[in-house]
Amino acid sequence: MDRLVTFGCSNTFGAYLDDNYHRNAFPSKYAWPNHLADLLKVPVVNNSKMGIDNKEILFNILNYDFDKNDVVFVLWSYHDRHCIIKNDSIELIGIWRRKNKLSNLYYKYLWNEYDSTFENYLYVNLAHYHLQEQNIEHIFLSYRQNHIDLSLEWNSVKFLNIFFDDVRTKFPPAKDGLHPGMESHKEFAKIIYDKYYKKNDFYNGSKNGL
Amino acid sequence: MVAKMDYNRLIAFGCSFTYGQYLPDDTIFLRPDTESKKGLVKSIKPKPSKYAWPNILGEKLNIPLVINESHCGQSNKAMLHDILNYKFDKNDIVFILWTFYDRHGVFTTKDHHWKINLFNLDKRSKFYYKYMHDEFDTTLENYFYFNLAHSYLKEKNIKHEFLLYHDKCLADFKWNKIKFLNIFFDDIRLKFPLAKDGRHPGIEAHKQFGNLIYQKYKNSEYYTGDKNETSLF
Repeated sequence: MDRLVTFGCSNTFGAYLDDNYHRNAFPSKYAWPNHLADLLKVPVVNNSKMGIDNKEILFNILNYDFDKNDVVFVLWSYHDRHCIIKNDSIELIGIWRRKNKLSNLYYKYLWNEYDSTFENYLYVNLAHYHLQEQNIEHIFLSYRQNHIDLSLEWNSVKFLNIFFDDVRTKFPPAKDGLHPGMESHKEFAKIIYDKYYKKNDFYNGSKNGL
Repeated sequence: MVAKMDYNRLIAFGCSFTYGQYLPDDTIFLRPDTESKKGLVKSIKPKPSKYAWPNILGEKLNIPLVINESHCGQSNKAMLHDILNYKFDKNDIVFILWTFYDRHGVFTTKDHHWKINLFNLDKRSKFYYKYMHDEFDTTLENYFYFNLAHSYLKEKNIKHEFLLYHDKCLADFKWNKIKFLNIFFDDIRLKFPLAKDGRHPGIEAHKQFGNLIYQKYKNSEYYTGDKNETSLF
């Protein structure tokens, strides 16, 4: 492995951690990708973005120029988010933006849980096939266990058996009081390392305690 | 040239252009609405037309069973959903004629979805076209569907060929892995008498399209930027 490349939302970005809580202008050096890179002794490229949904994460993965020795970790985001990817801009749709007319009407008229699961698994599976066909080692993480649907027969993706939300609540939060704090990020990286590199532990319906 | 392989079933996915809507044996809109006198209503048990291109192609390929899984008004998202949930056999060959990009759908269960299209006047469709629909985004999403269907079928070792209705549907994404057969139904549709509604492809157009798919498939002729129209007829 020459390089660790990560994708994700604010939970990978390290939102509101000590070095970026004023403006969240850059990914935090305290976010889990940096801790994981330290454990692996490789440089890291953290491609996460605040507020991003899984469609945009897929879009970024598809358009990224990987090197053959990259190892990719993706912490997929919340299923209820969506976006419109335009030629020159991206419009985010999220529960926290319900005062925005587009988001408000989207949840009123179009959002549906079954459909959301279908679309998110579509994105995750396409990312998996894309990386697999390029022979890029990749490991997928889900922020929450309840995003996982083991009943989808067509799904080819396995998620590592660790969910950041389970770690987040065990430590003090970040400075906004919501996002995972400094210790959560460090602990999450350690568990990822342990679950993937030592135990090869992927989720199959049983969480196997932290 | 395509290696010789014996397929037991040809499975076709698509919209009304694969279904053969408005061909002479179309049962969808033939039943008169005698109660309201408003015209014709949907048949209770619709069935794809025997004159539609999948049957022509199946005959040319000498495949004993053709299963036409198309639905009128289908969106590409719904086609992908059907493909992912279909029970394929290892000796199936799959042909998909993808439909118009501006159609959309929202699934509520595995067996039901809200159809979103320009003909619908419901609030969902109105909202979608007013606030959500964007040409780049829609093209992108459709290419997501094509590429996932392709990777999924490839992983299952199911032979598959993709077709587009019109070459204006083609887009250039560097990550795209799809090759489309070099034949577009719209190039044929207007060269022959149309179906009963005056818009959909007629019997001869379906026949010609089935024959041309066969030729293009046999010669592994995929679109590379040149339609090679001289070889159409």
